[in-house]
Amino acid sequence: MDAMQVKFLAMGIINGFAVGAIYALLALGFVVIFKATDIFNFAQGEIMMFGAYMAMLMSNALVGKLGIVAAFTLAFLISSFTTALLASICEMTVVRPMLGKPVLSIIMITLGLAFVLRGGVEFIWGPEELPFYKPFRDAPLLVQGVPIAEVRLYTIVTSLILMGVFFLFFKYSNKGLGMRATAEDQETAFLMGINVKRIFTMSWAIAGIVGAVGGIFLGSTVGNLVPYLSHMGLRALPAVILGGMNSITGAIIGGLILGVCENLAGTYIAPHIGGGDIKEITSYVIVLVVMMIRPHGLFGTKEIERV
Amino acid sequence: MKTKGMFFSVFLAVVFLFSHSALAEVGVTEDSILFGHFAPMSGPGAYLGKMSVGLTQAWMKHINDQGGIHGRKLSLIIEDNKYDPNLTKTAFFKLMDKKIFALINVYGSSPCVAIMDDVQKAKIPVIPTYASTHLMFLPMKRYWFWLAGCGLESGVVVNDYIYGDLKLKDARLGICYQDDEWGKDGRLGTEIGAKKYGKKPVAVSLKRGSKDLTSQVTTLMMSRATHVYFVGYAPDFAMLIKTAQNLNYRPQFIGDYVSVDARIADWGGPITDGAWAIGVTGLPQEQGMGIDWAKEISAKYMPAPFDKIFIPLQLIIFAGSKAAQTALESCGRNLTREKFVDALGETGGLDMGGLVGKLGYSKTSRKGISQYRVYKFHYGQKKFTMLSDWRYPSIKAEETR
Repeated sequence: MDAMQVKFLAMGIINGFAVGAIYALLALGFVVIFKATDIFNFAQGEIMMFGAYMAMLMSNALVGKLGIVAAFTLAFLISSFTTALLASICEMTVVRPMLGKPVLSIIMITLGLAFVLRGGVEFIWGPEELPFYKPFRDAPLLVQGVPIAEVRLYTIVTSLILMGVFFLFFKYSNKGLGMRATAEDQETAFLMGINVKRIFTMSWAIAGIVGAVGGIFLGSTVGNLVPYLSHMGLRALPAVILGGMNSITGAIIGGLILGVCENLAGTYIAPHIGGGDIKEITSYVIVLVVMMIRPHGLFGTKEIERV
Repeated sequence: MKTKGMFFSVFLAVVFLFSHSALAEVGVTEDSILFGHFAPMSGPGAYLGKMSVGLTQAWMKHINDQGGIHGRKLSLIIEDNKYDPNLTKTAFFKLMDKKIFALINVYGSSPCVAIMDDVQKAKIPVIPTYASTHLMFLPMKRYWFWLAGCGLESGVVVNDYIYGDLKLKDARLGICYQDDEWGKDGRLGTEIGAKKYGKKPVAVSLKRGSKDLTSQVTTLMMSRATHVYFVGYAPDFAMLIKTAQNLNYRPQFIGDYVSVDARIADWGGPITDGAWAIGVTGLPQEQGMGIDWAKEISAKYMPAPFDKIFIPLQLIIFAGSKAAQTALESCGRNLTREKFVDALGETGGLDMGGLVGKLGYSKTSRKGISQYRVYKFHYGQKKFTMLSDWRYPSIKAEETR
């Protein structure tokens, strides 16, 4: 393998890692809600999209007064907060009344929520591609001759920091422990004095924050926003399944693995098989193989019921 | 006797009424002509779908405000096909149920190919289809009138310009194409054109709606392509250029006729400066009877930003509408689908006033466009200018069959 080939391989891995970081954030949103509430939220992609649009709205409004860096930073924070707020409101008004109802009904509710959010965004901003202004330079940084886009670097660093923060939150904070306890056994957690309803809302809020951050970096990478950006949410599903539906670590690692594998497959395999959907297929092939060996995912745990 | 006479008169009146309605064409009444239209009103292609609907409605309002055509007002019903071939079938049959006279200004290679046989069987005129695949006009299909940039021929023109005009013998051509009928036609033409000059392009595909083109760009970099031809939506063209910049890769980018869109400046930023595109329409800044007509209608009936012409694709929709209008006018009051189709077949050579090159319809051909131009984009001015005037591809689609 010559130097050029190594360079291209490194490019493939780094860029795949950045895409994987966005998958990981989305997957984290899925898992946090699923662990706490046993609900699989099909509107996670739309929540991500909403976060990206909110950031665009704020960034465009503030850029003239504050400059792009300050406007983007403020937009980042406001968008994270408003998306968390939106997700919490959705949980309290739409999802919570459905608790205890058949699983299929709850799935339909989250699907309906997805359609409403997507339709709402399209109604407000239209179907057109809208430019997303961000502070990252388009010219790449060269590390040992390997070009790395600034936005990719920020995506990776910010995502890793955020994942680290949530990891510590779940492991050491009272609220985090409460969420884990609720995930383990809702009734016991309730009897132990944990406000289960608040935990549910909090899990949706966290999913909103990670979704918004994923959306902002996805929008920054693509450079444009369009309502069907929400389809990216479905691309993160294999990461959830690969890592294990109830594992936060699994979701993060699953996302990163799939991001890298997809990118390498698109670079090295697609040209030899005439293109096609190899990038999309790769994730599902990997999930299929892993499922055959470990049905609960790489880090998922088997639920044992005593009869 | 008087009563008998009255009954006879009523009988004759009823017979006349029924015979008249039996003779009337589907979708045509005393005072209206109903057209059908399908387009992606949501999803990745919605930015074009909403524009094509708006422009078609604007043209109709313009006609109707002038009293219609032979006293008949034009009306339009729309179905959202989401650029999906299966949904297009459903949309087509829904439009049939609503008794349309003809389909107007439809586009999308995969959607149109999906209903190709259904249209032929139903004998519904389609004027025009902006689908880019050569399958729309080869072999000739009586009811399909084609008006677009042919993917195959555009691919040949790219090679003609690089290797023929500019004589860049060391140029290495790559193609990045949307993985559907449109893109595959572009790939086929690029390969056919390259073969003529003893070259073999590297090809990478993208899934429609894809938001990450890193692996495609990396493959093109690995193949050391100096020129990259893109077949797909304009926002994706801008995304390809930006992704390449992010990876420190600066080949000459070339878009197809859909990428002749000044908004690539907003989507892609300054890096889009200098990009080329293969066009099939005139340019908004040019003078011409047809272009002026399009500008007048847009200014009067279209909401911003489409009240101004800034995308040549706007011009092609007016070109199709103008061909339809000419044929409707020549049919007279006694309008039938068959008569309309025959009249359309006689619009070949119609002066399009700069909207497109020569219109090519005839009794034996439904290929509306055969001429292409090469354009260059100027980011600062947000406009394209001409690098090469109207030209025919060195290998026509008809010669490849």
